[in-house]
Amino acid sequence: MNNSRRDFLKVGAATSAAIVGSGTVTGAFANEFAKRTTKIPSASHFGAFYAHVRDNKIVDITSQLDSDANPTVMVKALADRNSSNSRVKYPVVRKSYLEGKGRGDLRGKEEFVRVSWDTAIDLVAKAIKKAQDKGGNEALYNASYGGWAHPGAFKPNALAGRFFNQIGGAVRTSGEYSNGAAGQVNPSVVGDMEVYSIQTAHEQIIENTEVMVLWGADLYKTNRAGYSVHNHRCFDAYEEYKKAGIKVISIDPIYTTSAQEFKADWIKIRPGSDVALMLGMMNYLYKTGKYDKKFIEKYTYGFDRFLPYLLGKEDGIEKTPQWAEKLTEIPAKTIEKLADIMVSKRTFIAGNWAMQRAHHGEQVDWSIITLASMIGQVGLPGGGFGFSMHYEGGGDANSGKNTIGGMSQGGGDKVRIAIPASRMSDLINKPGENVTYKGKVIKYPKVEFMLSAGGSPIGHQPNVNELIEAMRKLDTVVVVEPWWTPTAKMADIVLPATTTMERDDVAGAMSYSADRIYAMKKIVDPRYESKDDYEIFTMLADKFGKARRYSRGRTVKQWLERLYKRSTAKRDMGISFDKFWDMGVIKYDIPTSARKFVRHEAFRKDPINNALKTETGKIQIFSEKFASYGYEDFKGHVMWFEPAEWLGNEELVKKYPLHLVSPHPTYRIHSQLDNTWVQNVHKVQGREPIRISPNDAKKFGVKDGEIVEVFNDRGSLLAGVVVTNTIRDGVVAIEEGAWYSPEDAQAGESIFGGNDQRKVRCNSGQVNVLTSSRPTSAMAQATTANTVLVSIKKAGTVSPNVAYNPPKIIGA
Amino acid sequence: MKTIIRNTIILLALLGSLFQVNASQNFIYQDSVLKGDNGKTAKIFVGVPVTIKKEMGKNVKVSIKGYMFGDEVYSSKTKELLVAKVQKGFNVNKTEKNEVELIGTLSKELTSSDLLDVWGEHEEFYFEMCTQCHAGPEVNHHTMMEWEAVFGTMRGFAKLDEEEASYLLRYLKANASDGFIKVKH
Repeated sequence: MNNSRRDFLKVGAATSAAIVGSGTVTGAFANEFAKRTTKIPSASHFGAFYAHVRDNKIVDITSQLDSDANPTVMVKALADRNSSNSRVKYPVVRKSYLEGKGRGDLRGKEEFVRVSWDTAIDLVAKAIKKAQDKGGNEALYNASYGGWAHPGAFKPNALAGRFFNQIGGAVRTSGEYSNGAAGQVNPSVVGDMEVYSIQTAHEQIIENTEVMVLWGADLYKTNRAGYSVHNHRCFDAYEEYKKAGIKVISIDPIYTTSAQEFKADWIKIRPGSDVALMLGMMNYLYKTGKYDKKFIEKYTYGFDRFLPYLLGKEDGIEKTPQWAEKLTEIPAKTIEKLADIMVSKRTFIAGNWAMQRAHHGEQVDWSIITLASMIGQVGLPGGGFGFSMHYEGGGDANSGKNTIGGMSQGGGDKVRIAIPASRMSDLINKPGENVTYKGKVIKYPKVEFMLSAGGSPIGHQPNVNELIEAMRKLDTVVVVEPWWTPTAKMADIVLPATTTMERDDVAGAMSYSADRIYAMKKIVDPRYESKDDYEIFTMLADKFGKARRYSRGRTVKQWLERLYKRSTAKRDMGISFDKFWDMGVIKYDIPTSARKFVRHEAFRKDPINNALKTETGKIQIFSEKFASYGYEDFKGHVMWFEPAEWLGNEELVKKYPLHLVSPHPTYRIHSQLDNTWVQNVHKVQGREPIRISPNDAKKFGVKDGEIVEVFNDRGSLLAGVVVTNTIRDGVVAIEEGAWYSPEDAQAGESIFGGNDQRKVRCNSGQVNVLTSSRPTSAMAQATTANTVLVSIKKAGTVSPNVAYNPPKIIGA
Repeated sequence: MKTIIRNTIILLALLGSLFQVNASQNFIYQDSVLKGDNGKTAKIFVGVPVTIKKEMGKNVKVSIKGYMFGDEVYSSKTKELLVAKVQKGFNVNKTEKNEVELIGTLSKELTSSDLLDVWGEHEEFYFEMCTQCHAGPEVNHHTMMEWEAVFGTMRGFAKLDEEEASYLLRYLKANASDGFIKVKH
C-alpha cells in the first residue's frame, strides 16, 4: 500500500513542469498521483469496493458506499492479501514426490521444488491416471467443497467439479459443514430447508415483534460477511429494532456482540443442552394449558405421538422444567418465565446454525419448530421462527429479480459416491466400511488421489491431527490455491491460482435481497506465475482430451456474457453486458410488497391450498419416515440425547473441565484473511484468542494476554488469553479459522515410526485441532465441532508462529 | 445424471420387479396430445410411462394409468406429479375409486424407450443450474416430496423463472425415488 521510492522518483520527473502550475511541490505530486491512479470496481464477500490502482499496484481499497451501507474493516485487508508473502508463486512439487519416492509421511515436513507449469500439470495428470488404473474414478476424491473462495461466477470448487465430471467423476461431498444436520431434517419437518430461505422482512419484525429470542444467533457478527457480496444494510434495520423497543433475550453461553448491541437479557445456557431447555418449556406449556391447542390441531401432525415422551410415559422421565434445570443449569423458574413471556408476547425465535453443529444436532431446529408450534405464532407477522436471520442479511426484502449465476460443474459423474460433509478422514481411513446416511448406506471406496481447490480442509474439517494422518496415507495430494494455506503445505503438488483481483468475474448479491449485480474487474496483473483456476483446469482437461468439452471453446468473457443473459438486467431491462461492465454495478428496486413478507404466512392462511411439502402437508412433530430409519440416535420425534462431551459428564469433566465452542470469526470468513494485517486487531501475541471468564481464569491461573496451551486427547494448541465477563463460567471460545501451524513441523507420527501427531502443538490456535470428527448421529453424519471438552495450562516455552510463511522451496 | 439413467436402464433389465415400469415400457418424449376413440383428446406430459397396446403404422395405441382429480390425472393419490389433462368427454376407464386408465393414439415418434432421449435436455439444464455452488445431488436419492421441499429453498439461488422452475421440478420429481421410475435404494 505504500508508495515506493521508485514511484516517487518517477513522479518527480514527470511533474517537475507541473509545480509551476500548482503552486506547491506537494500539490503537484498529489495531482500527478491522482491522474495516474485508476479506480476499479469489484466485489467480495466482505462487501463491494473500489480498488485504487497505480502502476499495477493497489494503493487503497474504498467501499462502494451506495452498495455497502456499513462497511467493515475487513475489506481494507484485501490489498494486503493480494500482495502477501504467503502467495504461492510458482508451481511446486514436494521433493520426495518429485524424486518418485512418494514418502507421503513427509507431507507437511519436507521442502518443495519449483517446477514448470508443464511439469506440474503432467504430474497431476499422471497421478490421476495412476489412481484410475488402480481403483477407477472411485479412487479420486474431489475435496473442493464449498463455494466460499469468492462470490464470483468462476468458483474454484465448481471448476474442479467440472473437470472431474469431464473425466468420469470423483468421490465428492454431500450436504455441508454449515447445516449438515438441520439441512437434512428441516425439509421433512416443515417442507423447506429453512436455513437458506427468505426470512420474515425486517419491516414486519420492527412493526410487530415484541420479543426476539436470539437462540445462539449473533446477527451482528455473522452478518459482517456473506456468501455473496454483503451489503450490511441489516445493521440499519437492527437500529430500528432497538428503536422499536423489541425485548431481546439471548440464550447463549456467550454474551454475543448482538446481545451487547441489543442490551439483551442473557440466559447463560450450558452448551449442548438447548434441546433440554426447549423440552422443559414445552412440558410447562402443556401442563399449564398455555400452549396453542388450535394451532397444534390445525397445522401440525403427530403431537400425540410426541406427548408421551414429553410427559415421561415412554422412558419414565418427565421433561419438566426441573428436569431441564439439572441439564441446562437454568433455574426452573427462569424456564417457566421464558415460556410464559414467549407464549404471551409476539415472539420471534431467531435460531442459529452452531447448535446443530453438535452431537445430536438433528434435534435442535426440529425442537425449535416444535416449541414454536406450541407457542402458535408461526406465520404471524413478527412471530414464529427463522433460521437465517444471521446470514446474508436475513430479513432483507427480496427484489423478485434474477441476478447472475455461476459456472456449473456439468454432468458426467459416473462415480455416484458423495460422502457426508465432515466424513473426510473416515473416507480415507476406512475404505470398504459402510456409513449410514439419511436412511441409506454408503460404502467408502479406497481413495488414492485428493484434490482441493479454493478451500482448506485443514481448517474446516474437525480433528486436524486425524486428517493429517489420513492425508499422509494417500498416494497424491494436489492443491490449487493462491496462498500457502495449511492444506497447501500438506500437498505433493501445489498449483498457484490467481486471486479474484487478478481476473475478470461477476457476482450477484445478496442471497435474499437479490438486488445487485457487480462487475468484478481485474484490478492488477497476476502475480508471479499464477494462473486462473479456469485456465488451470482447462490445461488439466486437455491432458485427458477434454479441454474443448471443459471450456466449450469459450473465453472467460464469453462465459460471463452467457451467464449475464439470464439476469433480469438483460432479459427485462435490456441492459447490454458491455453497458453493465461499464457501469460496474446494476441495482434492482425492491418492491414495497416484499417488505410485507411474513414467513409461513401463506400456510397459516390456507393450510390446504398452501400445504407444506411434508408427508402430511403439515408441520411434522412426528415423522413416520424418520421413525422408519430405525436409528438408535435419531427417532420419529424430538428427543433429548446426552452429548458425548459436555459439562454434564462428571467423569470427563474431571479430566477436561472446560467446554470449548468455536464460533465464526469476527475478522475473517473462516480462514480467509488470517494472513493479513487485519488480524492484528484481535490476535493475542500472534495467536488466536481464547475467551475465558474471570472465574475460570483465576481457577486455572491464567492471565489476560498470556499464551496458554489448550488440550484434550485429540491434540493441543496455543492461544492467547482474553479474560472477559462475556462468556459463562466453564466455557471457553476460540473462533474457527486460524491457519494451522505445527510448532515443530518435523515432529508428528510417521508411518516409518516416530512421534504421535497428537503431541504436535498448533502454534497458531486452529481450533479444529481440538474438535472431534464424531458425527451428529447415524442420520445426518454431520459435524459436531461444538461438542468438545478441553483443559488449559501454561504454555511453557513457545517459538514464533510461522503459520503464514511459505515453506522452503528449492529453485525459487 | 446420464449415468443414473443408463444405470437405471441396466437395472431395469436386471431387476425388473423393483420397478413400477416393465421392460417394454415407453415414455412420453415431450408434451403431447392423446386422441381418444371418440375423437376427444387429453394432454399428456413429458416423461409419463405408457404401455403400447398396438402398433398402427406411424401411430401407436397406448394405455396410461393414474389417479383422476377433476379433469386432471396424477401419478399418485397424493397428486404429486401431473400425468394428463383430459378434455371433457374423453373416455376414461375407471378401475377402482379414482384410479383410471386412459387409452388413445398418438404419434409413435412422441414415445421413446430411451430415458436419456426423454430427459437428456432436462438433465443438462439441471446440472447447469444446480451445480454452481455445490455438486448436484443424485436425483433418485430424494422422494418427490423431498425434492419439492429442497427445490423450494434452492430455486432462488439458481435464478430460475417460473417456466424454468416447473420444467426442472418436473424432471426432479419424475426421476425421484418414488417418481415415474421407482427404484429401491
